Amino acid sequence: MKETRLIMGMPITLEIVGDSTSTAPKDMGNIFDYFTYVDKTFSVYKDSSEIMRINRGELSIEASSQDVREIFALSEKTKEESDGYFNIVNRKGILDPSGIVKGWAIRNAADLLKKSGYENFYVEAGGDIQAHGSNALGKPWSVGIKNPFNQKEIVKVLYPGNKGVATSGTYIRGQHIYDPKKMAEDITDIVSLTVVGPNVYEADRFVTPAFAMGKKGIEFIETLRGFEGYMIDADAVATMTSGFKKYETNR
Amino acid sequence: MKKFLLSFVLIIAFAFYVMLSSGRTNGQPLATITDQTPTTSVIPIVSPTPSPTTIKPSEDIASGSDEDSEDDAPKTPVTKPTPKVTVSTPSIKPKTVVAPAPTPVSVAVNSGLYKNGSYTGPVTDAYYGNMQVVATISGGRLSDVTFLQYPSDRRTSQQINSRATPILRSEAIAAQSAKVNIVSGATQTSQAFVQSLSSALALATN
Repeated sequence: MKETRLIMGMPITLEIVGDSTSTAPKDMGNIFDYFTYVDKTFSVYKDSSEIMRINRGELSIEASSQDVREIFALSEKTKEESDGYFNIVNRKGILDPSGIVKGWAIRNAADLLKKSGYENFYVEAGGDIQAHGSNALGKPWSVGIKNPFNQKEIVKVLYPGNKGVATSGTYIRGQHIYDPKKMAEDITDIVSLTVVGPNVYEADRFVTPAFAMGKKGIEFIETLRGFEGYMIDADAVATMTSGFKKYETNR
Repeated sequence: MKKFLLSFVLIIAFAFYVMLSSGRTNGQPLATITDQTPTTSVIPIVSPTPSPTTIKPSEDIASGSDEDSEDDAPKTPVTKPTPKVTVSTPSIKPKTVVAPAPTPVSVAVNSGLYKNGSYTGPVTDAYYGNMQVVATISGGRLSDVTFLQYPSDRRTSQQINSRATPILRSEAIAAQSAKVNIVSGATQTSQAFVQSLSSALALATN
């Protein structure tokens, strides 16, 4: 079964294959509830969220929930590992962990499904994906990279297996990623960057800082063990990392 | 600060390289040159070798082994890159010229302007690790710098290790007709969008 709901301001899709047990709908409902919880906790658009209470100084990070403390720790780690290109403080000076929360939440959701005994499924939120097992035809899940210049097209087909896929781009939301070291400048030389990583959390947390590096981002991904990337620049030329090709074959 | 240091080291490394190569005192080539002006973002890379070596044809790289184990096996930073040629777009065949030993190739031009091409610098010991770069000159100016080796020991995670040689490939994107299960792209609707829309709608109702 497959279902899409709008949570966290984006469509979230779950598909569980070949399991018509009576518990599947309930388990999927629990996953959607989990995303609602994440949104309530981390949204910078909800005044009652823990993140906004921290931003207003009403709550200290130390006193916040375990999930919030975990996200802060992971943000700090990612900042170090990306040489400062990942920054939880956004342009308006607000603590905004959304660059890491989405992938983290998708991975947690996938782990919950695995714990419930599901083998063949995927969780997709806002274009970031954690797949597992195989699709309804018993084949590997196929993932298309959207054409940043034409939303209706895909320009690449991937078979990520059980790895995670995350894409950052400027083509839909306008400029939503910027170089934290040059706050005033937008990224304009690249329009899309897709990262395949050990899981969607890892892919997502590195795609944001790599995108902020502009054309150097793909070289940064190249330096990361276990990560591959596919970058599309403003001239519609794609550049990929040395091991990316292995995801193009349906094994 | 790190960036400044890095830039500084880069400049020194490049200057050092230019000095050495134009000095013609060493019988061994310090670098090889690709005599080609790149038209895409990815430059063809020729790594230096201590002795003259034949360069693998680009097809070897394009269709070469990318066995899965490579990805999972522990990688250690390599100090001497293996000779490899990187190919950009399929439509552009880079002319890769390797300077034969023992004649070193001068890269400096008397006027002080650089000569167009890609130049691989020596491995330099930055204080936090080994570094090696390829400098791309176009229009007589330094237009790009690519890292063949990058200091990696600052990275804390076990998972993150420097790959010795970035081998990036480029292609023009083309629409695929294949059907896929899932689509990956930038977030379709954002909280900002929803927020902005709801604010706009709130205004509109007044």
